[in-house]
Amino acid sequence: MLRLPARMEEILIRTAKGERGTEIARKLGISRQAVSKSLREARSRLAEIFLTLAETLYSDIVRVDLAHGYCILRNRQTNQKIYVFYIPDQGPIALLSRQINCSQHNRLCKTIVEAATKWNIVDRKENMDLQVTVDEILEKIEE
Amino acid sequence: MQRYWPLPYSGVPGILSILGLITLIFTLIIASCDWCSEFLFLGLFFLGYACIFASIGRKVVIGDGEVVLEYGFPVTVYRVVLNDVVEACNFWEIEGGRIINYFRLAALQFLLIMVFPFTYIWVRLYTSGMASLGQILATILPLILALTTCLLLAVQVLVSSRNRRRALRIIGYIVVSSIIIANMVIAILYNQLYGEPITSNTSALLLLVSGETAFLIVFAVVVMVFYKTQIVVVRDSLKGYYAIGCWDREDAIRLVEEIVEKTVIGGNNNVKTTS
Repeated sequence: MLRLPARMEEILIRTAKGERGTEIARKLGISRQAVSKSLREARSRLAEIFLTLAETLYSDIVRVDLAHGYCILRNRQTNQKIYVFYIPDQGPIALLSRQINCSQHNRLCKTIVEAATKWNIVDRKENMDLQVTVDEILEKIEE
Repeated sequence: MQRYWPLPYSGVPGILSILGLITLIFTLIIASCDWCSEFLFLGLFFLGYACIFASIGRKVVIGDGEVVLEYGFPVTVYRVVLNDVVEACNFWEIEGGRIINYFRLAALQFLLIMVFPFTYIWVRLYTSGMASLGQILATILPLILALTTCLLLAVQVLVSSRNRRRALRIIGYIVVSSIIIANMVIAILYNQLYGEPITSNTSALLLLVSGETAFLIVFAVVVMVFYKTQIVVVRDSLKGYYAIGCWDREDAIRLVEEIVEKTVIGGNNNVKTTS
């Protein structure tokens, strides 16, 4: 199944937020070595998930960012880009287009924004428009 | 044929490349000064070239959980080992990618390369007494300013553009405009120094035209290579961004996949078997 164990997700997310290895180790009650080993393994598994998706979707990898949990693929047949986000507790989701209408796909947009906030891709402001935030996320991962 | 090579855009190789360029420019500028001895000239000249050669990308080795970038020509003098790769991207495939976001040293390199010939001509003219600074300033200052603006604009477009095709087109316009302005500068200076128009001297005119043709041929080759080749950006969590040049798009795609497979996934498998 294309999902990471909860502990690995937590370590990845905490690292993405800028927490140091010793800090994570203290909070999770494990050794620093265990954190770095787990982090390495988590990144490796995340990379495997992205590679599997690329093969399944018959695409090439344009960009893979394991520190922020996303990758950009390009389909070999249509030449269209595919945006893949790893959603903590759920697994990866793939957006086949950059144009997402958040009034129609409200739940999907919320999921993306929450994941992007967790992965530290964007800072979520309370009263920020969902559509604007999603567009900002997609723009940011293309920079 | 080698399909990948490291680019000296960051870290120690980037600094070496900048140092080499500055040393060479400085050496050629001071060569005309009375106080510059042959020993000093040769010493600085070789130092500059040594730095440039030391920063030339030599080989990319992928595997065993690390990407090894070797720099130096003809032998490896510096090695960068990236063993915690967290990001790999095919730079020209991302829409909003700007070189300056990743590699500020690269921008400085482009600027030095483009500004050097003009600085050299200026200083040589001044130090050889062919024209006084006042003379140069009074007659060609607006043209020099226009030329400098063109160069800065070219560098700015090159390092900050989000679209390579567009960037190259703009740079093409800028280079052609620069050549026209440079022709005006040369014609004015010639007239001032020799008291006759440059068109009256066939050999001088021929030299100028052949020089410009050679420049345009080199420029066309550089543009073609720049357009065809691709840049793969690799980020190590501790060492930052490094650039790898690839011969074409297929190579870049293969390289990104190889890095993910062998460095990130393979590296972790190695750790597991040894522990």
